[in-house]
Amino acid sequence: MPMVIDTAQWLGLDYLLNPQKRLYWGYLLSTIGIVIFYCVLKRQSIASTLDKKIWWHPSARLDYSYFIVASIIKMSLLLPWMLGVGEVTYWTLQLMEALLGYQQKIIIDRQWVVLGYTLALFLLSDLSRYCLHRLMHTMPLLWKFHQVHHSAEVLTPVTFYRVHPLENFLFGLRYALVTGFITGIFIHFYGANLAILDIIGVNIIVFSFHILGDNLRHSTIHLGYFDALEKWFISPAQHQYHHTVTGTKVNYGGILSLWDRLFGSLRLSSHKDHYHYGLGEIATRFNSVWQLLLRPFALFKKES
Amino acid sequence: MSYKTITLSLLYLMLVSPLLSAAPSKKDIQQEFLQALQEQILIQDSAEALRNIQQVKQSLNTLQRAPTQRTLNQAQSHFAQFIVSWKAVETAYILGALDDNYIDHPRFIDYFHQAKESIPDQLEKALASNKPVEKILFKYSTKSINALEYLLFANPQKETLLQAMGTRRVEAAKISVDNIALWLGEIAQGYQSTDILLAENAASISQVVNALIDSSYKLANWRVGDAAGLTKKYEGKPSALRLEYPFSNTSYRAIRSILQTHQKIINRDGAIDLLAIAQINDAESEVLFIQKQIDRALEILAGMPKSLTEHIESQEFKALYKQLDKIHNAYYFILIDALKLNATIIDADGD
Repeated sequence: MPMVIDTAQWLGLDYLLNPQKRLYWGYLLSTIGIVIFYCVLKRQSIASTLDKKIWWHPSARLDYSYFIVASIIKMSLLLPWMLGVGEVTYWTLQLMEALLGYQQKIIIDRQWVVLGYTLALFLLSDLSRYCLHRLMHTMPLLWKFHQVHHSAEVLTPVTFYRVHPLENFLFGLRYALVTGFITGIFIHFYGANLAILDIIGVNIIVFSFHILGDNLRHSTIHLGYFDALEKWFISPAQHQYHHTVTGTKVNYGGILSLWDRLFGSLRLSSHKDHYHYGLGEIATRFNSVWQLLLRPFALFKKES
Repeated sequence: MSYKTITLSLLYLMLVSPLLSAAPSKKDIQQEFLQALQEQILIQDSAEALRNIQQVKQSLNTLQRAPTQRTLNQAQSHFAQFIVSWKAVETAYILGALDDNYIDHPRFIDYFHQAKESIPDQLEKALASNKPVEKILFKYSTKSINALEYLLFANPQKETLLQAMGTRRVEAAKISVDNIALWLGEIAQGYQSTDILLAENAASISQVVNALIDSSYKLANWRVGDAAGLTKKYEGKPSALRLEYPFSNTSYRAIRSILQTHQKIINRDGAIDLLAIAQINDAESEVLFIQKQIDRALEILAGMPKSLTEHIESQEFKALYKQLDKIHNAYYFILIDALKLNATIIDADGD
């Protein structure tokens, strides 16, 4: 049995049972529910969302096979080298004690600490995600690797995992640094009086967005919010526009569009834009798993 | 998007979320831990410390009536006994976190690392004065355990301590004892009357762990590192006067008592202890690691002479400091692991 579990983890099949992952069955179930609502309200055929032209498109099929290969790479090559949140937390604690001295733990109602920590984690994590995502687009070197994700010509929830391992590494590093830093600061001041407000082990805010249809960001369901709401939260339609040939310079946000608004990269879905996904002509360069993995290096070599 | 859509979406969310959020309850084990802690440690230790300080008072009365070397020794011995029990109370002090009214009680009793002024100088001035002792000794620092230690053990004058134990000195000691007994009595009463389960279980357990973290830091740095000249503040400048009890040589027993209190909170035979809490939180190995480190610290301590004053520069004392520092860090690692933040490390959310 443990061998079966190990194999499932290596192939990424445990994602369906792991609430930390977007492909968790609960989120998928919720997404299906939202899609049904959406189709009923839009008087659209539910069958149209299951179009073979989308789900069995060569780009989608590449997503599926790449998902398995990327999962094996993540488990075998990335995980052993990944900086842990624990280490960063510990370094932050040491730094805080060196700079400010030992802090007698502050006695405050636990629920406020938990709320503050949950919010701080969410906000700084989302901001750092925005910053790194923007850098992936604006730094020529990083863009070579991020093109892997943008080379998808159709969007399905699995496209979320069409990411080059180097990008995985950078986002993992971001997670460890931000989470470790915030956790270190909170432990310094509040000690053990710390927990994340969670639902089934997932930050309650992140859980809410996952259950509210984060999976629709990579889908054919063009769900936009009101303009006023899209100035605060990224809608699936806004993210879909980010995936178009012309939209890669806007809507970098993960959950909040607030950062896009503050840093001048927001575009609302109410604009009558043309949605043509992918990279345009250069997309032909990313037609196989090997190309997804190696082409960025070739591009880099060619340029240098 | 219409209002109908939003309403339907919210309704849907309300229906789906509870289905996905059924988490297993740890309440019973947490409650058992807290109740056992209160009954077997907090109430018992504070009651014992109260009994011991009352014993010090009795021996001071005897000393006052019959000032002999034997009665002085007895008072000193009762003081040392009291220190051992007080350190247990101080180490696990969570009453202030459970009830704001008790936050400052330990500070009214124990002035180690708090006083900016010299307690011995103030006491000597008070003893030399003609004013009534009770009027001069109005500050908590001069009525603290640290003042009591000085009065019972230190004598900078040429005469012997027994000769110095005139009425004023014993009177001053009795004032300290009364002050300590007053606050300690309130602590003991507080532990009896406070319902530890009134607060959220997790919050109360957090306070216990915070008390242990706090104690482990102070034990390593204040009680050992500062004296040995191993902390940044006193690097390379060891001084036995920085030991917690420099006059009575009780520091050794105090350190042992603190470590033993950590030990009994973590693991007691047949009790729901911190290890049991760790087991339900998948942090058993981390707590067992701390237990090992505490055992090792006690071993190092056992290999040292009971009078630490002349051994603060020894290799053993340095090793003890390093070991205690390891314990402090290990507590932090428990907290970090308990948050289970590494679970999503590889979910590098590219978008």
